[in-house]
Amino acid sequence: MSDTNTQSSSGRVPENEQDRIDEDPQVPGFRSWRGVYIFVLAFFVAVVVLLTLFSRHYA
Amino acid sequence: MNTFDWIVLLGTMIGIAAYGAWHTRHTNHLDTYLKGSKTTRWGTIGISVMATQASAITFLSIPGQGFESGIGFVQNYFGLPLAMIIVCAVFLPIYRKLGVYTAYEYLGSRFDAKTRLLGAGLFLLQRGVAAGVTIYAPAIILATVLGWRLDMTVVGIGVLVIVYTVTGGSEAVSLTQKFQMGIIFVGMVTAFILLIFRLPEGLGFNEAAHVAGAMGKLQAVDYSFDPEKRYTLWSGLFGGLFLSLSYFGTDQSQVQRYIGGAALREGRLGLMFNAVMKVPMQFFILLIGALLFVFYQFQPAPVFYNRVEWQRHANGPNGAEFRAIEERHAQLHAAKQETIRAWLEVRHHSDAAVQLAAREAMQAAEAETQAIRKEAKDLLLKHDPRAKVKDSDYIFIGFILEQMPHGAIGLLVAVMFSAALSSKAGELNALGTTTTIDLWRQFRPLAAHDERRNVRVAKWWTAIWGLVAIAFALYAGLAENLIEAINIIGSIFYGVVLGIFLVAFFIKRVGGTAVFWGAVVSQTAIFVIYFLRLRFPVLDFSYLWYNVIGCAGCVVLAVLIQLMINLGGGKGRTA
Repeated sequence: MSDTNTQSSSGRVPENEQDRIDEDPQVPGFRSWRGVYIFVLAFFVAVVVLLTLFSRHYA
Repeated sequence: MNTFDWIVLLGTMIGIAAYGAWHTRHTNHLDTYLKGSKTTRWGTIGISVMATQASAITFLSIPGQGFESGIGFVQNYFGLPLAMIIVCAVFLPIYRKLGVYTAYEYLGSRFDAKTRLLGAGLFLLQRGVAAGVTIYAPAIILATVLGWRLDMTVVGIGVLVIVYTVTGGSEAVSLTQKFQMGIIFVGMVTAFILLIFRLPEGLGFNEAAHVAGAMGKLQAVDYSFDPEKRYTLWSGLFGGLFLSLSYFGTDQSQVQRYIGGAALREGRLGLMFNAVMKVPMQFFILLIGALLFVFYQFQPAPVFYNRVEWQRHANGPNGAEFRAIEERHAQLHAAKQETIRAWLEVRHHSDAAVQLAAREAMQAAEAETQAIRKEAKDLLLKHDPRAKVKDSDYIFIGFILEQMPHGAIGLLVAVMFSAALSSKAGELNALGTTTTIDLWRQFRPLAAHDERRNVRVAKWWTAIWGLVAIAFALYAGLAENLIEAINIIGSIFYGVVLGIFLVAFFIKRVGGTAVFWGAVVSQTAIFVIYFLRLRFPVLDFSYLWYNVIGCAGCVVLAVLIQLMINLGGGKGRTA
């Protein structure tokens, strides 16, 4: 069975109907999940920069 | 601990467990029991993922790590945000699309039954062995410092977690984890605030941080490429990505936490919550450790922080040697305090040369203190070769018991127990679910439609794994270097499991037979490397590399075997 199939081996109803509706992350300021991922990466980079500045300040 | 502390500790622990069990006592739908409520929102999922990862050892050991080696350990988590994004974008949508209960069920859909059994089997073997340690490791520390019986501590933690995990399954786990993480957050913030107030007069956070920084405790990010260094930005990004991807993407104890929920959005946001929060949270816990280091510079500090172990020897037949070291340490510690005060004096007023001289004197005094601490550990080993000389796990709990006001002691001990219960519950829930779905139901396909029977079986398996964990924890003390042994066992299996999943997600042309044999051969190779490492020094490298070798070996071999199958005209792709 290919992973593109929508039915599980156990025959349960797939949950992708609800999931498809959720393509929009419904997060204020973000229209796609790509935007959310970019924000998380940018936040991580900012944290690393702040940690570096913190270390230098108290070195 | 006084009566008030006991009320806080037992009230929170038993209260949360009882509420979790009572609130979810009627859970008899398989979906709810294994995946949690259909209405679970992202906040609960995010906290549940965080609580499952953060064990009691996180809150006992990491402040000690900050105390001893500084906050550089935070780099270990740098690969986590990227791993979370990959899990969100690739792993989670496929798990939800297929409506699976376990990650290994997906392997059955993508490949075949034997690959699913292999994935589930490797998980059960690794987690099953580790199950006892997540009880034993905090229990041995808490029992030692609180003077409790170790067996009663182990049984107490074990029975409490079994009761609510068996009763309400995944829903109870998520519900209790929410409250337990609340206790943990409140407790850690309380500890931080009280620690700042306990610093000597005139030494606020800023000055204390300058002392910690001058002693090399606040070096958070190391950009060097030196492979000898244990924690650098690059090892954190690469190694951390690798480990986080296998842990969050393929380990059922994590997959189960985010696979349910009201919609795909909730799971994704829960994971993104962790991607954003984890590094700052670990930094905060390490910072507590670095500030504890400063606190003990202005207090009479013990030469060895596991005071119970030290006193046992100091009161024994060789006590004179131990007391002599104690005295020398006390003198050096007092002299070091003077150098720190001298540096603080000249830090603002004198020229650069005077500042540098004062700073070097302070660092030299610290080096002398470290040397005598090493001498103390060597002395312990000389008289007791089985002695546990790693005392950093006892620093934070020792501070709590000696310096915190009553009430706060109960709260902080509750933090440790909350962390132990929350991670243990996630683990038991995953072990019970995998055994039911991937093993029991696999051999009883007709039982798949009897929902109530499935729930009953899942409850039994959860209870059995809980009892196995208690039994293992009770006998864990017999093994030497147990925790490291468990870490090695994890590394032996993690790489191959990740390799199977990476092939499943990203190499569509490889089928079940190829990946199965690729995994079996890679796993065998890892075993061979592990058992022959003492005979052949070239094989005696860090066990963390087993992850890389296992994963890469599995992926490469699966592709090669698939090519051979295709060339031979065989049907390697699972129908």
